[in-house]
Amino acid sequence: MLEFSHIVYEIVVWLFLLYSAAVFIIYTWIGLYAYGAVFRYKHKNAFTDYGIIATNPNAPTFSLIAPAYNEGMTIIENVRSLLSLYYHNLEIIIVNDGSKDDSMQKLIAAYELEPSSFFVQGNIETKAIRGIYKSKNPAFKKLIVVDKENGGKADALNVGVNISAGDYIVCIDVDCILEQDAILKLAKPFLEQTDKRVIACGGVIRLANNCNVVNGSVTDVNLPKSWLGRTQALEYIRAFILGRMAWSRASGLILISGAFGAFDRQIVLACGGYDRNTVGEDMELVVRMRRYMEEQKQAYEVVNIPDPLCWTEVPESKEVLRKQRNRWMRGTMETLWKHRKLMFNPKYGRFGMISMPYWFLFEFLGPIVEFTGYIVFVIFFILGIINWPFFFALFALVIASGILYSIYAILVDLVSHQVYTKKRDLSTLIATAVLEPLYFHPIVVKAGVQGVVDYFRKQHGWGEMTRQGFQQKEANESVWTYLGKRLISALQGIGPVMLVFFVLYMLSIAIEWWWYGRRFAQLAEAGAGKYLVGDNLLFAFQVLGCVGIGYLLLQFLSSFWARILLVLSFSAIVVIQFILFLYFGESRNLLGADMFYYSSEEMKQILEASGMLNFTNIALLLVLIVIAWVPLWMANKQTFKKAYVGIACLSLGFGACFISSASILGSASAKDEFVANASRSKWRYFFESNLSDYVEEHPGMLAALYQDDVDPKELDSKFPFLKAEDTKDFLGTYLKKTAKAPNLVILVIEGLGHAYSSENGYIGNFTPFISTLKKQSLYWDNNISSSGRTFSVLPTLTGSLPFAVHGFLEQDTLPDHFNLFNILKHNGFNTGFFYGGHSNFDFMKKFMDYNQIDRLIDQDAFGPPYRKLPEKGGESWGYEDQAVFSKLLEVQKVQENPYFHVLLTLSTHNPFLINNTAHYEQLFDQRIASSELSPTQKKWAIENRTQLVSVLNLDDAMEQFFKECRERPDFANTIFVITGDHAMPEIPLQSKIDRYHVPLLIYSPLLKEAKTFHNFVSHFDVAPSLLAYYRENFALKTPAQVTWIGQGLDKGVSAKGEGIAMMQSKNQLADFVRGNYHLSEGQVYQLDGTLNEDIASDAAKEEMSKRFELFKRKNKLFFTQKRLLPDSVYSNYFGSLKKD
Amino acid sequence: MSFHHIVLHELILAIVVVLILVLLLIITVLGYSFYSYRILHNRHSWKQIIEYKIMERVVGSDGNDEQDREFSRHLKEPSFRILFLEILVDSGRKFSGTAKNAINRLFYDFKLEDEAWRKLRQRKAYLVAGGIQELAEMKVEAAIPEIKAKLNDDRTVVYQEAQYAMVTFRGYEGLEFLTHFDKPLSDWQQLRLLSSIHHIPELSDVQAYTWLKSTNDSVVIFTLRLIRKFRLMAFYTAVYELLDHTSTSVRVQAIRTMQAIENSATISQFIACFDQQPIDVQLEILKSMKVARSKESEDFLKEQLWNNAAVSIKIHSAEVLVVLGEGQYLREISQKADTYDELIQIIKHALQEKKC
Repeated sequence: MLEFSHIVYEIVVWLFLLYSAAVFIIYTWIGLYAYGAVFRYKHKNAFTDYGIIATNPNAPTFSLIAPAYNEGMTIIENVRSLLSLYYHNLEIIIVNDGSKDDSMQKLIAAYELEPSSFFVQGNIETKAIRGIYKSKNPAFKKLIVVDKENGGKADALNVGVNISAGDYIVCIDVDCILEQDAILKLAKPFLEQTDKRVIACGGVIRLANNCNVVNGSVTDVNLPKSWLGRTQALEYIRAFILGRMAWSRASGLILISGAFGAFDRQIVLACGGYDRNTVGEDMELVVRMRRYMEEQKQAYEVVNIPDPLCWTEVPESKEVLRKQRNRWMRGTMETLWKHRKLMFNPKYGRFGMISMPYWFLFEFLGPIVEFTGYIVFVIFFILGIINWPFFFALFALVIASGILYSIYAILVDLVSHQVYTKKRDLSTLIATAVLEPLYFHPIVVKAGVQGVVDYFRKQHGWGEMTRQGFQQKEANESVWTYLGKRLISALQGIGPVMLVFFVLYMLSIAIEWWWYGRRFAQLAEAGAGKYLVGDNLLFAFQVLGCVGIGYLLLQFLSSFWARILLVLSFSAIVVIQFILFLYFGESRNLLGADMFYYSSEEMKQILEASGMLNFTNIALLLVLIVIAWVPLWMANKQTFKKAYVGIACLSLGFGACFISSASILGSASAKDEFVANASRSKWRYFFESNLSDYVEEHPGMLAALYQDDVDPKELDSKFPFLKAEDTKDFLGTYLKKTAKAPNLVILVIEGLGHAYSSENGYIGNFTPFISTLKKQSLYWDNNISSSGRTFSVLPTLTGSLPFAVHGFLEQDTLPDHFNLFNILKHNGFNTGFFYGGHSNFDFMKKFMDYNQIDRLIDQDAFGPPYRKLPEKGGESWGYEDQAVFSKLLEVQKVQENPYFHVLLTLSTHNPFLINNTAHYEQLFDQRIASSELSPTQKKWAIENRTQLVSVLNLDDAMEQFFKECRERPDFANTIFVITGDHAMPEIPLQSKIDRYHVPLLIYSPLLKEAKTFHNFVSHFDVAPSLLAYYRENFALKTPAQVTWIGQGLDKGVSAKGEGIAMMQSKNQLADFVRGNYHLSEGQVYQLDGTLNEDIASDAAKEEMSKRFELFKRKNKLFFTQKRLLPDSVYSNYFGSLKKD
Repeated sequence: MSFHHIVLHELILAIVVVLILVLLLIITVLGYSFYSYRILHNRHSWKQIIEYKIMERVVGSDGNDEQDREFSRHLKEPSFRILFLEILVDSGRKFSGTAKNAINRLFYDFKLEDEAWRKLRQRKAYLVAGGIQELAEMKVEAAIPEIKAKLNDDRTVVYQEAQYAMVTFRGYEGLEFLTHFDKPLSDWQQLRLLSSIHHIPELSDVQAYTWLKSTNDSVVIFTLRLIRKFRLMAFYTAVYELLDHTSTSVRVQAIRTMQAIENSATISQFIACFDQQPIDVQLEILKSMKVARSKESEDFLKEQLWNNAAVSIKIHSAEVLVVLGEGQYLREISQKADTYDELIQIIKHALQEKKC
């Protein structure tokens, strides 16, 4: 649960961050682009003589349309102002939209109007016209007044469009004050059009509040008196000077303000005029006009000019402002919804791909995202998971960016148009910019969100009236109806696919069970089948739930892609299920996220060497893909008449997500790990492993969430593993004193587990030579390796090193550290590594390169007569163990200097193919026949014949090796360390610890006596003890400060120490041993004297978890810092040696 | 503790860096804003000084050495010089005759010519255009070759300004460039050019004929406007031939031009070609008939009123009939019982009948 909430937290935070970054980038672009646009316009029009069109009969005609509703108080003055506009070919149409006041009477009286016959040519449907009036007075011959029934602003404008006779129409709010030359300036872009048709043109609107207006024109410009007004003045500057100019330059403008804009009348008529059923008719019209032009494939432009041409009163009361912004938001939503088809539609060019998405993502979603941010903030605050430095830094950045944008807008406005020329106005505007985010912005955001709520609450639609105009019939339904229909059709469609998937998946489980039945006899007895089916059934439901809900959401965006993805994911799940259980059948290992930590080269090698990549298998895989895909694809084409099946599957799936398989099935045979693993859902393991791995890899921003009771003092140091070297010399007492430091050879045997290398193991002794050697050695029968795979054996054994994330050697660059190679080398040893395969495997070569060893012998160094292991699928792992042992003897001549070599064998690795199989099979059969093995051991052994035959081969190779060694003069002064890297996962494990239970022998002619130790030790203890021995007995210089995890073979993993962790695979740090307790995947086991384990009491669990957590923290600190020890410690040690 | 937050720590660091950048930018923008404000403020007072100076020169009361020295001091300031030049050019347009000469003299007296030349040789389009404007407005004949070269510039602002300058310098002859001009001539540019041609020399026929045959429709339209402006009767036939031009806009302009240079055959030609024309041209023909007020079109108009399917044609026909004095005829129709409603509405609309 913690992991899940962490992922949610990360996603939320990153979404907000990405959104903010996008806003930041887009506004930077707008700012820069608008600057260019404004100045280009200014330069271009520097010497423009507008006089040439003012009275020119060749100039186009403009029809100015001003709808009026209850404007009786000011209408006479307003019309007078319009009549004084400086343009010859102009008609002024005042549309009285059924005012309830005396507007009409006042107009009739003031302008000597009389009703006149008028044939209305335009064909946009509108409310009835009561009468059309013209003036008797020739002075007012430009004026036409229309009296009509009330129908709203859009309807009134449509009447005006129908009546108008001009080439272009100019739509304004009647209470606007226009500059005298407003029409001249608006006309210019239309007259300048050449290859692109200018379909609409807008100008800058400024605030008339607090300005002096004389005879219908603004004579003295002042900022509004209230902060609310001033903020809007600033907002208008930003919107018109920056936003619209940038979009105009980028040919992406989709809003010409309803208060003042000019349009090509022909296109307006072709589009069917204003939409009467939206509150955002101005934006909707421009979008529809652009859409029309795009669909007609005509080149066009929508232009905004930065000249302040129109003055309007803005609301200075919060209430009115809220209503206005609420309306704007609803208008935006209605337009976006109505024209949703254009969104991300490449057919509509940058209009569909940029403008519309911009409006959707930033203008519409902006307030919603911000509001959500406040809510998330409150939630995080309550949960106490806010990182305050981060919060304040981000908050300051957001506020500062807003202020910068505003101030920049003021600057651009100042240098281009000088509306606010008084010094006091300038400083007031700057003060407004600083105050706005705190005072004005929240009001606007709240109103915007309220607009969204209102939009949905009112179930806004485009019903009622069907119009003939362009694109007016589309989307004639409410959002809710639309969403409902889509949902139901999706539920009907998903039913068959879900059923088919369910059948296919359960079929694959049946096949899985049958497959195991053929291979593993012990499973049937353990009754694992019941658990396997149960766990998978639950998993299948969970998949139905999750994929189904994903599909339902996605299909709102694109039904086509949602269906493709649905079929793709279901069939992939089925195919992968086969791969996962076959992998388990083959390797007896669960496949998890570790597969992603092998490079593609390594993966290829593993697959090839295990013989999986052959023609038959690939063909089978292809057949499987077809079998999984075809039924699902066919089902995808079908739909059920009712949505019940879909709903039922989804509900079951949704419900299943809240159930854990353990809660209903109990835990599967907890003791026998193999049975437990076999009966698990392989998919669930794969999924959970990847999920937890993801969480692990993204420690994220909320590490505080993971704070627990670990004493922080313990992690006070920057280098948590650093300690003074205090390992006692334990080996010295068992080894004879010599004058010369002895040679050291570590033989790491692949897959040499305790179970089959000791008569006490549950399989018995299949290493007769090693067993004899044990009797002549220091032998630890309770030794633990540090990982369930080979990847960590070298760093642990030679350096007692921590794991980092996926193993020490997986790090991009290895941090400075001490290990046997570099310490011994600096003490004059020759160092070497011997391996029959590719040394690149598991990054071993990287480690050797880091240590600058003298000899790196891997498969490239071999040649005839050495023999490779037999090939499977055309690929061999490398050279057989006999070859590697001989190579060491061949290469390492007798010499004066001591040497240190590590040898890693190979033959006992999957697929366990060896040369001379017949001989070892014979040996195997002899051992089975002998009385050494108990009946149970024999049963186990026969089941794992192939593996054990390869073990006998190894044992024989080693015998040969020692035989030859003994003849060498340097043998007398050599110490051999022999151990396994881990137990074979292919041989069923009886308990959790078995994976790590490997023998450890120290053999040397120098030994005074042989001895067997029963204390629990680990690979982490080897290097510290060896170095202590060399330091104390041969005065080798070793570092004073070290980073050993182990404490030496005398102490081992006893409860006095801090315990050791083990990695099951490259992505699973899930085991921890301290004293005689073993914590594995959350369960604590008590270990007896022979490493058998039983579930321990809960009392031990708390202490163990705490210790393990502490280890993980240290490890995490190390890998996040990428440093294990201070540079000084490292360089002092090596530096001092060099001086010597 | 910080080690838990390595990613976070780096993120905070990045945010703080951006924040510092933003704050620095705020300071820069603020500083620049106040600087700009001062410049603007200066401009305001400078404008008064310059306007006073121009006024003095125009009125002829100029001559105070002390004031001149003061003025010259200001001129050392580049932004003052630019403003002076701007205002001078602007004023140059408003005056003519001796006043304009007086302003031109100011231009030379204060050596603003160099400034204009320098602009002409800049790279930025708007500066070049500005230079052309100033040199043309101040009649610096020496600049003609260089301005002429700019006719072929790729940048719209530059070649448009060069076209205008050539016409300003040389009137009709400055239109030479039209012969090979292949870009569209915007309406705005056409109006500018037309407005600065004040007379047409005789024997200009040859060039104008070529332009009428240009493949560039905008050149044809411009020529038609030119013919209309100067009533060049000789072109009538050539204009008439354009009635079957591929572009409707050209045809519309041709109709307008024919009307402007009409002869006795015009109305009958209009009537003859009417049916073959698209509706825009038909409407233009009716508008021309309205201006021509020829009784010759009466029957044709009645025919259109009754039989043309398009409402707009009917309306325009009725309107022309009203102008031709056929109001009574129309009223009679509208009062007939069998006249359909739409026609009655159209007639009333044409008669601008007062509604009671």
